[in-house]
Amino acid sequence: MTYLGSNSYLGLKVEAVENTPVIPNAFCPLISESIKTNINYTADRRMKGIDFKSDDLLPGNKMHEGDIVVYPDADNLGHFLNMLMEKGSTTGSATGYTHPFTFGTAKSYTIEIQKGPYAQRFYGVKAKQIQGIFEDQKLKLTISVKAVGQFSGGQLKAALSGSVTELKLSSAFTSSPNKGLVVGDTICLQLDSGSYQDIVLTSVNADLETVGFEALSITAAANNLIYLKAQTPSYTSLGGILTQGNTLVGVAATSALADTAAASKATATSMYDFSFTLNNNLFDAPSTGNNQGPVKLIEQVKEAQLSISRIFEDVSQHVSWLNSIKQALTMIITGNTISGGTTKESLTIKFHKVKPMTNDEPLEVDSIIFDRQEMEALYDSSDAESIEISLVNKTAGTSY
Amino acid sequence: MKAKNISKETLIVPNVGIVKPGEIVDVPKGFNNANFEIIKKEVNINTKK
Repeated sequence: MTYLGSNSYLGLKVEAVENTPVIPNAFCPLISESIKTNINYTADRRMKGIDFKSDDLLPGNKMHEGDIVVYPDADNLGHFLNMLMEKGSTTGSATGYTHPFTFGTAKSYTIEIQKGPYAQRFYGVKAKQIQGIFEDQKLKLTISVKAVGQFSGGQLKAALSGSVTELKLSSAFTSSPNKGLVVGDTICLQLDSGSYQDIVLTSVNADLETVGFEALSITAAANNLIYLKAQTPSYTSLGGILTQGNTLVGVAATSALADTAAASKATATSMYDFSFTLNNNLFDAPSTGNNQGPVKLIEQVKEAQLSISRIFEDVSQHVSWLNSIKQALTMIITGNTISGGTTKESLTIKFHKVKPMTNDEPLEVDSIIFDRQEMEALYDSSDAESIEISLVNKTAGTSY
Repeated sequence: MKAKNISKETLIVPNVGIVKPGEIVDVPKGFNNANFEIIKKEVNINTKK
């Protein structure tokens, strides 16, 4: 049997208790993903009386990381920001909630990615970096994430026969093989007949290897396969991407003036290319009493960069670069009108202080001149802030 | 097989359609979604002799 990637999904849900898995119930259409578990296998090189390199592999430190690529809408964008930054108090109502984000302590998520019949679940997921670029007018995000653990598939530890209400998972991958599972999950167990039995979990036991369920008549041998059953995705919306055409960028001497400049097309700065990278340099705290992966993920120093290409109109940007002059930049992307009112979805990113690391004005025949700038976002002492993000959408703050 | 949308959102579900909160719809065999509760078939036991 073959499976098509187009049928897959990204499911996600914020964890009520950090690093404690939950069942994802929000779904986001993926462009691509590359999250994987690295078991860091090495060849067993111990002397065992053989003259071949090795007779087995030995596992090393488990790591779970990779990238998610999406065209975000205003609602699922909140989840990705929530993985990277700290959300403040949400204000507003169902016709327009405003969620403020600043760098701080991010929330952890459980995410699932469908791989054919099984769901690859990661828990304790936080974002290390979000890169936003406009690709063919559309805002495309690459979210680099890390996780503390995973559940996807495994094997039955001991044979089952007759009416049973629990099973044990093999501890070949980890000493805590039921970690990552949640009451209410559906797992699929390979029967001796070759078919798979759906099993809805009623308990995930504290012995870290047993799961319970309502009585079922099962005949299955030890080492039969088990996997977490993929969900059928459900979406609250399948449109509403954010576009460059609905983006205004204000650049001025202060953040307040940049806000004013970004408020209208007449005062905004025309950008040819615009991309940003937000990074919290997430650290994998080494595994301690946890054989699944890092014990926790810790935000370290925060940073951000901008890459801008704007039409060269005067010498100001050249001098800004030469003399390292402070600028502030505000970007506002407006989306659809939220149902039931007149408020529009929006994403506002305020960089309180930026300076160009480079400012190139390359010349090409028959081409107008651009200021091509690589900007470093800086902490602004007068505003006591570096970056602020404000997201307006129809999703209540409790979802984040 | 039937399932009920137990979320507070109207949901778009591939191969099922648009499902309002609280709505019960037919779903394909094997359907599995955290926003839905599978409706178990009621078993009518006739005890009348």
